[in-house]
Amino acid sequence: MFAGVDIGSASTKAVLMRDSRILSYYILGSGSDFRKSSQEALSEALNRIGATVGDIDRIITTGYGRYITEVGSEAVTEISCGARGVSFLYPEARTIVDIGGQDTKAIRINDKGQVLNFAMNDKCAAGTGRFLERIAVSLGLDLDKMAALSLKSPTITAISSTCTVFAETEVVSRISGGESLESIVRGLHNALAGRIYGLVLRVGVKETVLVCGGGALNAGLVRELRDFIGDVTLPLDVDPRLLPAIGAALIAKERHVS
Amino acid sequence: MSSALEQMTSSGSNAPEVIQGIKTETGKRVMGYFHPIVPEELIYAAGFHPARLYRWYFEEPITVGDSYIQTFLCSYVRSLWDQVLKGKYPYLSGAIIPRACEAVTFLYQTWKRHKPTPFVDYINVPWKRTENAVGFFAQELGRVGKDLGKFAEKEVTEDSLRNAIKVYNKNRELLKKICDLRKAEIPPVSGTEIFDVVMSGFIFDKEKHNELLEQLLTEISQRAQPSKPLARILVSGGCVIDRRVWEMIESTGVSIVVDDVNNGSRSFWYSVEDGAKEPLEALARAYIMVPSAFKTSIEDRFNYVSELISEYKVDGVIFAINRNCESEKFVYPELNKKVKGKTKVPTLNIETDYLVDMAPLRTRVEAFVETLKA
Amino acid sequence: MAEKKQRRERPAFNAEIAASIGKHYKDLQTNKPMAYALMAPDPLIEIAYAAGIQPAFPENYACICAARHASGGYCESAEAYDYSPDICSYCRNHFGYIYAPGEKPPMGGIGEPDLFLLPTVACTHYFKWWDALHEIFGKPLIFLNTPRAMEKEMPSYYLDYAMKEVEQAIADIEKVTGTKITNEKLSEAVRLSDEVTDYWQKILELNKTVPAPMNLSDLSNILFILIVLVGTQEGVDLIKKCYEETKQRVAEGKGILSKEEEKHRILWIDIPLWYRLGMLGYLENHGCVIPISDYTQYIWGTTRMDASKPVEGLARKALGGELNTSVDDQIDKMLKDIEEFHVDGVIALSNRSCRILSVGIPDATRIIREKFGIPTLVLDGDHTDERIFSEAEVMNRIDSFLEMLG
Repeated sequence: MFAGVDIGSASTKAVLMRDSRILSYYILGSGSDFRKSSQEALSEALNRIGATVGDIDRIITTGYGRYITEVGSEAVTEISCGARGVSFLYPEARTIVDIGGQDTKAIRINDKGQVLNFAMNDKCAAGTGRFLERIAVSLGLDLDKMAALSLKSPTITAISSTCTVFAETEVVSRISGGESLESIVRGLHNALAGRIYGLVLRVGVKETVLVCGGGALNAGLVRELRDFIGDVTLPLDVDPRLLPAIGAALIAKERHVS
Repeated sequence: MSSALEQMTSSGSNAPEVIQGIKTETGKRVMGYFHPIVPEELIYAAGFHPARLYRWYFEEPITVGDSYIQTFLCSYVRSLWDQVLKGKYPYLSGAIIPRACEAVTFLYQTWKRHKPTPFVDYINVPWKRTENAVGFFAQELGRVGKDLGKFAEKEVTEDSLRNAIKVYNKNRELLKKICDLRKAEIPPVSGTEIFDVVMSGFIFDKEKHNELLEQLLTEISQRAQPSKPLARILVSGGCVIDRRVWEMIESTGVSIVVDDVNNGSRSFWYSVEDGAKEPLEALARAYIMVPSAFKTSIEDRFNYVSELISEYKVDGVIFAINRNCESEKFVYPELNKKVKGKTKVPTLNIETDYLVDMAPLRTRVEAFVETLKA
Repeated sequence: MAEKKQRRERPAFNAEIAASIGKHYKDLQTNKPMAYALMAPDPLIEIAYAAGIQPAFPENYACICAARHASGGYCESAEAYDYSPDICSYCRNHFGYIYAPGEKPPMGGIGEPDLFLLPTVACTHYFKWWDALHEIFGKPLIFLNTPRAMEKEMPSYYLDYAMKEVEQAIADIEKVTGTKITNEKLSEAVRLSDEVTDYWQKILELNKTVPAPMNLSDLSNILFILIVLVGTQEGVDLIKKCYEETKQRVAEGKGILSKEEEKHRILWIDIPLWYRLGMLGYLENHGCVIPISDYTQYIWGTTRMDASKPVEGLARKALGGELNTSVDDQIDKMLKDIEEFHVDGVIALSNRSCRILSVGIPDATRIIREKFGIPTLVLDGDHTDERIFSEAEVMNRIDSFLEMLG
């Protein structure tokens, strides 16, 4: 049995696999203590199938907190793990768009799941999930409600600011100016999708394009992304945040054999 | 007694003290200068101790400087100016600042206006490499030489220039010799160590540095062989003076076998004509070749980089460009295309900045190394 | 404050200049050879006209893209092609345009050049930009390198070097185009250019009048002549019209605002916000006119040229103007002009895209406040990339400034 633990800035994910089958998984908020969250994620995943740590042959950690943990002794970046995980479940994928809370990644892979090229957003919230989260908070809405509003709107109010803070001001201005909330919210999703598209263009779009990470759960964002990129595939049979952890578990298996 | 390498490495963490010490011991005044395009020989020949202007306090937040210079300018210039204003470098008697990028050109102007030192001068650097340009550059160096001579109350003579050139040629030769060792399949010295060695050259007296370099060559020959690196990397950018970046890259198991940065190869990858009849022209002819982005065409830069890639059998290029470094960032897209297209070597682009956490950069570098391994 | 909508009468020459701009972009589609040139005190423009080359100006095109609100999209596209947001938005607008022009680029586009004319006046971007395009398009690059006079006393060999470079550039252009640039043709182009400079300096003097006959937008329009048409008869004819009309308005006491309306005269530092020129109308409605800006006054048309010595004249042109001298020089001029233009307030755009122009702002505004005690306002923004613009934020600052002016 092999484990992959993805310690991200927003959430920690643990996946247990045997014979390339997912046995169980667990997702929880990372909080500020990665050691704690990684330990907890792994224990909960084990509890679900009545197993213990001793049953695991190898653990690989990935994600932002991959070194700040006691659970595994090897770390591999979430880029390589994500590539591996996506390629395993979706062998036709050649471009991965991973929209996380704190960063967004565009990864080009070959038919073996090897990373050919990647790009990540540079030091700015405006291209990440954080952009929507911030504004949702200031509007007093949750992300699901925001997505629903976005999907409802037939029009897009362009939100031009590339700074999350400026965008917030712009939104508030427009609302007090009497503009439609739905159209503005759709504009926000559209602006984020446009910036993500710009990132993807840096690595080149090659079909099929697989969108994963927390952003894939946002139907409003996905709709806008489709307008920019064209056809995209979403992970249907697995939580889209799990792909790097799955990839980590697969790499753990590979390294164990060799 | 600490080894040569230990002495050189430790100088980087308390440079102001070391420079103050040199001033006290030798009685020489300290003349700061910015950028490898400024020929140190000129300063040395005028009887000053040349000290390249780098911020030496690595954890000092920029406060005072922000009221003089906007945040969208390069943090090298901003942090340096902030520290100068705070009186962190009281040993400086002056500065020589070239017309380079906008941030550096502004540094001259604000230095002149606010006068933290009694002397400041500038150099117009040609952006071409023609005979006309060499002639002009030599005239500029002559003018600065006269200004230095006036400030020193002692003329800069052609003989003193020739002597300085001898000392500096020796220094560059030794540095090159040490760097050549990294051509080996298993480089006996790391990129981080070379970083320390080169930076100490901007601190120590040149003759002392030459002694240390000779010692270092012996020390290296007596080392046990390290393990083979996962990959051979070239680091390219403007200035990469944050030691953590070099350490972070090599902690992934790769070796930085060669560089294309201002505080690296661009400071010594050439030689000035020895015993030249016209030493100013000889200096101009050599220094005009420094391949920094602000003055160098993409083609010339690519030729420089591709030669390094093939001589040092580089597996991967990491562009480490500072935020707001306009010149390097402008050159990057076409240069990157050429490097990938013509040399077939994969590349990674990371953005450095003052006082930022290494962890996000580390993710990118590790992911890149993982692709090189595969 | 709510914005009052008011249609104000603008000088008639604006319409003529607009027509000239339209003609210019049509010419770009047909006149050959066509060269990309730069908006700076650029001696290669006169040489180009003398050689029968049609110059095109991607920077001017960026202003138009910004005014038409296309520049945000182009800048975003440029980032997808690895051009960092740290780079000047004039350049990013252009890279976005050449890689992804879209179906209806403004003015029908700016076309592909047959060669590049590169002076090293102004900033380092000029070199980087034309060099990158030279790599992309593979067309010849005419490179004229002149130094920057950082001190009031410029060493004489600066002029020698600049003249040698001008001569080399002429020879290079002759080689590339296969045309001979005779001394007559060159002198004529220099003469026509100098005539434009003469009229321009006279026009600027007229703007010292109270009430000011022209606002920043009018001045910026006339700049088109100084940038694009120097060396042509068309340029002389057009600027003569601007001068005659302005002279007439001054004689009639006609300002952009009436004498009663004009309450404040502002010095604008740095480039106008091309995508938000409506802000000038807002200021006008609050009694503010901008009769002077370092952008309009200190960069172009500052150097007279002697047509009998065209190479020297052109070399001097490349060594003059704000971008080729020092910040000290810029500040000295501003201090003098604040008095001569009866300025009582300053607005500075701290322009993240144009570092060469905005680096002087912290010192300039501090010195102006100390010397004159007048209010100064600093806006943060970008002259072309409208994504880096917070309307609410900027208008808030402007309103506070108007309150300070009283």
